[in-house]
This record gives sequence, structure tokens and C-alpha cells, in this order.
Amino acid sequence: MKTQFNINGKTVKLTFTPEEHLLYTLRQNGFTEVKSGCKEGECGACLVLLNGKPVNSCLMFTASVTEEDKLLTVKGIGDLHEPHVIQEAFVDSGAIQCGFCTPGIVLAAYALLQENPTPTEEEVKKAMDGNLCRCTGYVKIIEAVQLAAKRLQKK
Amino acid sequence: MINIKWTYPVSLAETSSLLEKKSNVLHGGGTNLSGRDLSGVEGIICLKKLGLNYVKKDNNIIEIGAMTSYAETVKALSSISPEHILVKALKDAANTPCRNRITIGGSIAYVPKWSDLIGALLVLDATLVLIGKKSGEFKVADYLEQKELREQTLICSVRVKNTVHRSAHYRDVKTVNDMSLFTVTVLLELDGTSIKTAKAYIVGTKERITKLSDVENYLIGKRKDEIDESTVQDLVNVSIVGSRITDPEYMSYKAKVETARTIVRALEND
Repeated sequence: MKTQFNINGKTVKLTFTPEEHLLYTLRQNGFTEVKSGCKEGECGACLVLLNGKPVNSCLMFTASVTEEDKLLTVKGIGDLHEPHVIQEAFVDSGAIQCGFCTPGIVLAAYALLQENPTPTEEEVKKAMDGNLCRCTGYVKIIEAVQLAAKRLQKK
Repeated sequence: MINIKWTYPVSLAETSSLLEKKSNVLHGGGTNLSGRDLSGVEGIICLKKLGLNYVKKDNNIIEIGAMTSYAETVKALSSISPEHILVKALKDAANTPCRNRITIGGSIAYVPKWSDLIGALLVLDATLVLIGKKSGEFKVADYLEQKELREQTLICSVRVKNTVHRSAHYRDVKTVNDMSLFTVTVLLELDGTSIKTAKAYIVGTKERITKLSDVENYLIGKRKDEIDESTVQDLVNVSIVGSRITDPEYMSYKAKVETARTIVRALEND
């Protein structure tokens, strides 16, 4: 199968098999910032935004994404040279250790702050309930999201 | 490589004709299908272009399109009826990315072992609008029992009452973002201070779904202060299968305790 995708604001033509999952398609085509974790929708390492909503790419067939859909990976919001406020807040808060879960968590935070710019701690926890981190213990992650919210408010 | 053909129908008539082929399967959000063995599947019918993504209220009936995700359902229903049992049941189901993909229709059609939806639909006496080999409006309870209603049919929407009755939902999980091992759902209609009607279900039992008829009968006519929790526990006779890391005997006892607690919680809600 061959379809035109909108990934990170750019049009990309990708070839894939009918039973292929989006996680695999993305990684095979260079979007390695989308991480392969549990592959059963538990850990959120493979999280991408589909039309602004967090989804697990490991549970999605690539064929279920159509030309009208907009996909966003973590590199679509910012990179090493031009990091997003959320990414900077994660660095400043020490919210990263091994970094494997970070792309998914940053995207979950991005989706949350788009919808709710001033989340409470409980709302942050709820928005992150699909993301597992085995290093940090989550405290620094929640602090990072709240710091990013404050900085985005000032902008 | 499996040779599966994807189709994206834009009308119910087109979907209905695609369903005539037994080897075609339906794709809603895909969370059930994506982990399944697809051998034998010749075609996948993607439902995303059918416009079955809506929540609307007409008089006292709420109709939810089959392609509406759990997250969309909770968001829409929260503005219509924040205390609705479906809001309570679905707001914590699975986790955020899954709630963004799991659809109402898919959750009924595939009847997963875990389900936060089914108990809520059963206490509401919900109906389904089907097309395909069987067309019309059918009770969810009948759909779950009768195989012929599930074969080569498409769920278009779910209809539930916009009830203001007392309700509560309990989901038993190892961690908050996990799939529920079993759920208890209770809906109580009061007449003054006494219970007029009672509906109670446990989903996740050995039989998969158990209607707690003895508990329902016990509750009718009682006031909150007349309900004895240990009597309720005695009336709950279910077997919870458990998992690799849970003991079935303990889980079955837990189902008794949580049923009594869920009833108390439903009566505490205002």
C-alpha cells in the first residue's frame, strides 16, 4: 500500500503492508524518535499525536491513517537546535534520565497544554496516565510540565 | 505477507454490502484488531469516513455514534450530563492514548474480556442500531447473547437514557492505567428515600457478564440506612477468573466487598 501522509507538517509518501503498524512504518522511514516499547499500548513510548490527540502508534494500523490526518512526532514540536518550551523545561527540571520515554511524555504534555494551559497536578498526572517512566519516579516530569505551563503563559 | 484489502466506505449502504463477505472485518479504533491474528481475514473495512462520530441528545435519549472514542464520549457527555454513569465508567478506562482510540462500537462488537463500557450499557438497558444481516434497534443484552446479531452486522450507534438516577462504577485494576480485571456497575432509581429500581452487573466474571439479580431484589424498597453490606456481600455469588498474578478466590471475595461498597457510593452521590 502507498499513501501520502502529513507528518510534522510535511507531506510524505510512504509504502507499507496492509497489516503493518504505524510504529513500524514511522521507524522504518526515519522517524526513530518514535520509540518501540511494550507494543501493547501500555507504556506510551511510541506515542504520537494524531490530529492533536495522543495515540499509541503500536496499536494503530498504518492503513487507518489517511491523507486528511495530521501526525506529529516529538521532532515536529522542536529539536536539539530549536527546542520547544516543553523540551527546555524537561531539561531544566532534570526530568530526563535514560530518555527512552521522553518523546512520548513530551508529546503527552504538549497535547495537554494545548487543551489546558494551566493544568493542576492531578490533571497532569491524568494526562500522563498512558506514559511509563522506569527511571525518574515522575516527580520531576510533573514539575517539568508545570514549569512549561508557566513559561508558556508568560509568552 | 498477508494479502488484506482495506476499504474505506463512505455510506452505510456500501458498508452493508461489504459485510456480505464473511472474511471482511470491521475496523473502528483498531485497538482490538491490531493485536489479533489476521489469518483468514481478506478485507478490513475502515469505518472512519462514515460520519459515525457524534454524541447527540434528543429529549431524554442520548445517541452515541459507534465511531465515537471513549475520550470524545466522556467530553461530550460531561457537558450534557456530568453525573451520567457512562462518564463515570469511561473516564478512567485504560489510559489517555487508548481512550483516544477505543470506540464505543468496537468495544461492544469485540466484547473484550475487560470492559468498562458493557456494565454501564447493561444497567442503562441500552439499545444498538444495527445494519447488515440484521437491521434495526436491538438491546445490548440481546446483542451480547445472540450470535446472529453480531455476525455480519455493523453497530451504527448506541442509545441510552439520559438518566439522573444514582449510580456508581468500580473498576478493579492493578495500576490505575491498567485494563480492568472486573467492574461493578450500579444504577439505582429512588422514590423519595427508598430504592424503586436497582440494576447491578459485574463484568469480568467466569461467565464474563453477571447480572446481580439477588442484590437487585434485595435493594428494592430499602432506604440507604436499611442496607446491610454483609447481606449484599452474601448475595454476590460470582467467580472471578483472575490472572497470572491474582488469586481467583481472593478476587471473587473482592467482588463481593466492592459490590457492597459501590452500592453505598451510588447512594452517596447527589
